[in-house]
Formats: sequence, C-alpha cells, structure tokens
Amino acid sequence: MKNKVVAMLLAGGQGSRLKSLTYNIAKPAIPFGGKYRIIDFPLSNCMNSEIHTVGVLTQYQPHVLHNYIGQGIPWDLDRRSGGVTMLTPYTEMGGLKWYDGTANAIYQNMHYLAEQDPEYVLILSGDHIYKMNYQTMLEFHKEQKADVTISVIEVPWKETHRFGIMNTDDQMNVKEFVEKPENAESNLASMGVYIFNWQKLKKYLQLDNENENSSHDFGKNIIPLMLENNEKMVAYPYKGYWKDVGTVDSLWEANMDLLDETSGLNLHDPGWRIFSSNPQLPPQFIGEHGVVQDSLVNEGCVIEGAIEKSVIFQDVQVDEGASLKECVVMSGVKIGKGAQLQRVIIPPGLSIPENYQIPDQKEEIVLLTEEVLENWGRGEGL
Amino acid sequence: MRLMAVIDASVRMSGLEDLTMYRSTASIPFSGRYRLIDFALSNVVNSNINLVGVFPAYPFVSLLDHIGVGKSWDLNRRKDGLFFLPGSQKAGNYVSVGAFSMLGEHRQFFAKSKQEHVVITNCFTVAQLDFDDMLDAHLASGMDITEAICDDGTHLKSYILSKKLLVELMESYEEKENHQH
Repeated sequence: MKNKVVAMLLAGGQGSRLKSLTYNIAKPAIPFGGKYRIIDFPLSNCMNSEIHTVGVLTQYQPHVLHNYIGQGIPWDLDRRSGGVTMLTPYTEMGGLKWYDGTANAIYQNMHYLAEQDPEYVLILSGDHIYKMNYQTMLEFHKEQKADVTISVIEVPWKETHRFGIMNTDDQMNVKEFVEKPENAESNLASMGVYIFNWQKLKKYLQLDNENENSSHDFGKNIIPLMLENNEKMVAYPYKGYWKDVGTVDSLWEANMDLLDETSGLNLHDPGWRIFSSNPQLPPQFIGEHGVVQDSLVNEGCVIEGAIEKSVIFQDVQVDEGASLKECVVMSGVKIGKGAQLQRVIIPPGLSIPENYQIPDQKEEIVLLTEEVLENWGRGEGL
Repeated sequence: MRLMAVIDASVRMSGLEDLTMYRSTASIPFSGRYRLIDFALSNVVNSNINLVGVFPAYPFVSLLDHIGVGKSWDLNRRKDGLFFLPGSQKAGNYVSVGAFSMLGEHRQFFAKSKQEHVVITNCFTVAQLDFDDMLDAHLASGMDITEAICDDGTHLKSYILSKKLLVELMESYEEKENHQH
C-alpha cells in the first residue's frame, strides 16, 4: 500500500522516578485517569490518525503490557494485515540481544519493518499524555520533503534545561539539537515523536550500529549524525496538551488536569476518543452518606465516604467517614472507615486501614505503599 | 481518510434473473471462491477507505450472510467500518447506480461521517480500481463528478464526488419528489 506508515512504540522503559509504581510494570502500563493506562494515549492517537500497523517494543516487566494489549481489539488493531505486534528482545545465531538504547531497539526489529515495507516510520514513546494527529504531522513531513520530522512543543523558558531542545531557522529546519542545555537558544522541546523516511532510517540505524562508542539513542546519536550529514530535518510545531508523566508529581498533576476544564486535556471530544480495555464491572454506587464533588468515579466503585477533587479508578471501596481530597486512587483500593487522605496516589489493590492519616504531611504528593502502611501500623510514621 | 464509500448492492441486472431469484446480484458466486461484492469491497479496502455503506435490496439474506460484520475485509471496526443500510424500496431497480432516493433514506450515514468525498460503486463490475488514485485525478480535474472509464471506453459506473454535492443532490431530489406529491 502506498504511503504506508508503521508506528514503532517504545514501551520498554522502566520509569524509575515513579518509584514503587513501576516495580512490577513498565511505565507505559501505569494506570491513568480512572480507566486508562498511559499507553492508551499513543495507541488511541494511532487509531484516530488511521495508522493501523503498530509495533510495540517491550523489555522491562512486559507481562502486564502484553496481557493488556492482547490482540489490540480496543484500538481497532486486530487486523488481517498490519495490526499490533509485540516486539520483545530475542535470541538469534549471535546470542541473546537485549535492547540497548532506543535506536538499538528499532535496529533489532529491522526485519519486522522490512516485512511491513513502509514508506514512513513513526517513532513514538509510551511515556506521555497527549492527543495528537500523526497524519497532520505526516502531511507536514511530506510538504517539507524532509528526511526526518521531529515534533516539538514550546516549553516555558525556565524549564528548557529538562528537555532536548531544537534550534531551528525560520522555515523550521533543525540546525542543532541540544540535550538539556543550561542556556537554551530556543524553547522548542522534542516530544520524542519522529517521522522518518524508512530508507533513511535504515541507513542511519546501520551506520549507528557500526559505531561502538554510540549509546544507540535517537536523541543522542541518530539525530546528531543525520544533522552532521546534512539530511533534511524539520521541526513540526505541536500545539496542545502534552505532559511527560515520568515522576510522581507529574503523574498526579496530569490526573488533576482531568478535573480542570482549562487544562487543555479533554477526554470528551467524540472525534478523538481515547480507547481502553474495559473490565466490565457493575455501575458505581454512591451510598447514603457518600458525597462526591468535582471528581471522576469509575465503574464498580462503592462510595460511602466523602470525595473531593479526586480521580477514583474502578472497583474502589470508600467506607463511611473516610475523606479524600485531591487523591488519585487506583483500582481495587479499599479505604477504611474514618481514613483522612489528601494529595496522595494510592497504587492498585492497597487496603488503607481505618482512621489512617499521613503523619507530618505538608504540601508534597505522597505515593502510598504497603511498607508505608505497615510502618504506620507500628507507629513509626512515614 | 479523505474518502468514504457507498456500495450500491441493490441494482438488478437483466439477464441474471434466474441467478437472483433468491439472492441479490451482489452475492452471485463468482470464479470458484468469490461473490461479486468482493470486488467492490476489496477495491474500497485496498484504496485505504475505512468507512463503507452497503445499500442492499431484497432478497439479501445471502449477502448479509456473506459479509457478516466485515471481518474478512478488516471492516469490523470501532471507528468507522462497515454499515449495512437497507432501503424501503424492496426490490431494487434495473436502472441506476447510487439512486438518490435510496441514499437519501440514510442521510445520517453521511451526516455523521468526517470524510469530504464519496465514491459510489456497484456490485456488477468485476474490476480492480484504486479509488485513491481516482480521487487524485478527480481533484486535479476540478470537475464536480468523475466516473471511472475503462481503456476500451466502457463506463464502470463508479463515481467520485464531494459529500457536500451528494447531499445537495439528495436534497434537491427530495424536494422535487415532495413537490410532485
């Protein structure tokens, strides 16, 4: 098929700054927004952009992701041709090859790409919450007759040191790529979304692989190498909500953004729905004493306590007298009678004891764990 | 992305009456393993079109049985996909492909879609047509309607026009009908 695009979704990262949330699952599998996982966003973007061939590259703790994605039915990826393919590291004649860097992960799946025979390859990461039409970006890529197009977003100048920054000319040609600069010349940050012409990508992956000193990373190696060789590289300016949910704080903030009409993150757009696997639970029940304000409450919940400005996932039980404010409560959690919680993230399946309160909590966001609860039980505080 | 498709599976062919006593023209078996509609459906899918309305006429049990939810053509989708849109005009007609009276009964199908252009094709032409190429030619020509014509001059009765124009045509047809009654 002409103009064929294959998306390669990098989902092998650990996301260690999310602490206990990623001990057992990869970052893209982290629950988000009451009924989603982070990976639902890039997958739904693919579906809404009519990209029907997606390779999902996994490495770190992949079982939840594999199980969750399955045949890709929620994202219309259960297809006769193309569809979703889970790409894990494998052994070959040369031995076992773990993915070593983002570019290496793609390099090791060149057979898959060759088999799909695309014209363009879209590289995505499974770490961000955003809604983006990749087809519009592809149009831009074609118009500019680029070899590679990198999606960029304007970030506040004071935060430029956290991002990979693109220095461009007036025509959006990329002149320089600087990783986490101290004194940035531009505030256009790379979103980690790339469109490559497949033949060019193939060439540079092979070149990069031959370089033993390379760390085989798109940002650190492939992009600079292509710039060095004067390949046509353009920046595609994206406008809209985009958030890296790589830390406990940013994950909490992104959840809270769902409760804020002015945040720019809108799940109610019928033309750009975010799809997710459905657990088929009964409807939520708000009991006689239950009070719910300014919150998302999902199926299977039984609410007897008071909830304010919180995101409550599926199958959560909140007992009488308990109160939650600005909390993210993941699925299967039980909140005991009289517990008082504010600004916490509660991972799936935790049971919060009766009358629990976090000692000495100031403004910070707390990620609760089994360990924290046990310590509290012994009277040891946080 | 740019195109949606209408497959007119209602047209009756004179001369095929014996084969269409219990089935529509669209579901006449062909070449050992196909039915005639397979050509229209495959043309549509191979042209990268994801939204297809099949407009059948009675008797369509065998057609419905054959198409099912469209899985064989990757049309069993949550977004867009296959729509089976029977009309009240029971027996179909011998004359035209894409009759406005038939399409007009399912105006919501067009209203709910996002695509800007429509290809109208039929179930009695055995051909391999790339509607994406045809749309490029249509847009380049600046014309209102484009029909596919074979090298030998045969009219293939597949048309491309803008959805806006098609809706206007359906509306003016309806107005005329109302006027006459």
